[in-house]
Amino acid sequence: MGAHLVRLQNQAFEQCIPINVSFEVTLRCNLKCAHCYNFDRGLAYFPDRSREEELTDAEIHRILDEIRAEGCLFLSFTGGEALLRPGLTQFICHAVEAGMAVTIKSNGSLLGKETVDRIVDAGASALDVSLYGSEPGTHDAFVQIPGAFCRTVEGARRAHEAGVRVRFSFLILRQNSHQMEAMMELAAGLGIPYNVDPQISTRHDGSRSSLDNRVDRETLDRLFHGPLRPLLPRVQEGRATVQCSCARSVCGISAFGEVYPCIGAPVPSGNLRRSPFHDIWWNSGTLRWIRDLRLEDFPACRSCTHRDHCRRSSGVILNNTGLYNGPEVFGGDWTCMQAEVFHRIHDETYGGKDAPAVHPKPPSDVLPL
Amino acid sequence: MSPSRREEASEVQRKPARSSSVAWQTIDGETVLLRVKEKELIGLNEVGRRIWELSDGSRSIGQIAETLSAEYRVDREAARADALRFIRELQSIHALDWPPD
Repeated sequence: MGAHLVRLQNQAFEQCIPINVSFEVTLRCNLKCAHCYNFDRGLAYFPDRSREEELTDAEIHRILDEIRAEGCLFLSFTGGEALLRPGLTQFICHAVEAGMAVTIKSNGSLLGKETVDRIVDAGASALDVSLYGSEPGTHDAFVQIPGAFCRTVEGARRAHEAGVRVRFSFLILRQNSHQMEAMMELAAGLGIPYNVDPQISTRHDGSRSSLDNRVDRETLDRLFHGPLRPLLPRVQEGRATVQCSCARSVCGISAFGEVYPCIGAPVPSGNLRRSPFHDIWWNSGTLRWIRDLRLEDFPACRSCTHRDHCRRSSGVILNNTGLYNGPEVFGGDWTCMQAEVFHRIHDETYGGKDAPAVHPKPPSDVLPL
Repeated sequence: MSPSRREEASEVQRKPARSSSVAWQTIDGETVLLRVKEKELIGLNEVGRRIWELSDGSRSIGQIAETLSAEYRVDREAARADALRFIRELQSIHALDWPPD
């Protein structure tokens, strides 16, 4: 990210301008990913909710105007599978016309020619596509839909060739840890950049079996000693806080109109059916509490020696431990083990110096594009 | 009228419109343009911001210059020259388009 974009993101963080918004346009999905953080995809829908409760097209158009007026520049449409939302093309047109840069987060399996043409014409500029293996067997078993791998890879290729900036999201899983290198080669062969993420969260419906897909310490260690070594997270020396950009420059909106500090942290902060975005953003006690958190408010992190290497996400920690500012003690979440591994490998590799710059950049919550 | 003056006279009749390849936002009084594909950010000064706002495809460059002249109390010719130069610059990086009439 260029220096000007970093400065813009920093300014938004300082002034609490929701420059990055993730907007969940539906919870429906055509895949049944084993790790899905929305809800257990073995169920028909989110427990005790119905599809009919999802925001209407008119409500979504109104909310787009409200977040734009509050400062949104980088807008992600997510789901569920965002491409299943019938009004998506109109939402993209509306957002682009208003001046926002639109990314679609998708499983990529619905990117047929007509759909790609439609989203390109509407003005979507970027597409994040989730891929869980280097070959059909692994990916299709994980998403529990035969044929998904080929459709996803073909869809990503098609969108890339149509000029959309496509990026793969690779999640490190027990099921695909032996394929990481092949996944990276696959992406390189297509000319598509990628992010690699080791974080898995419990689900927003409270079920926890998604965590069964996490790799163990030995596997993480092996991967970051091996093919993922160039992707070791950048050291964030002398961090004054462990708080991410939640409720400051980042905001999430659920399919039911709930405003969240980030789409991965389902802390209800107000509903857009009852109040305008401006009122919720500035007056919600929850959002204000999050903005006021200081390092000393994070019991395990404040004295942690691995802090500069930690990829802590408040949403993941909240879902996994029940505490937004958790964990209570070091080791209370898998994130702690991950930070310890990153720290050790970094010191072994670079002798305490910062890693050389690499491409692609490590995942970061200030990289909206 | 010289050929270059004729060209300019014809150019000021054109109606610039913001391109969908550029996202933008005004933050803390400063307008920034984001060239999405290039990930390039461009900051606009106050007059640039006003020209950007007025470039909605419904006004000609001449009309935009008239508005600037009135709002900033500057000479019409100077406003026209500034608007032309700025719009040409943004058009050259595809931040502004000429929509069909």
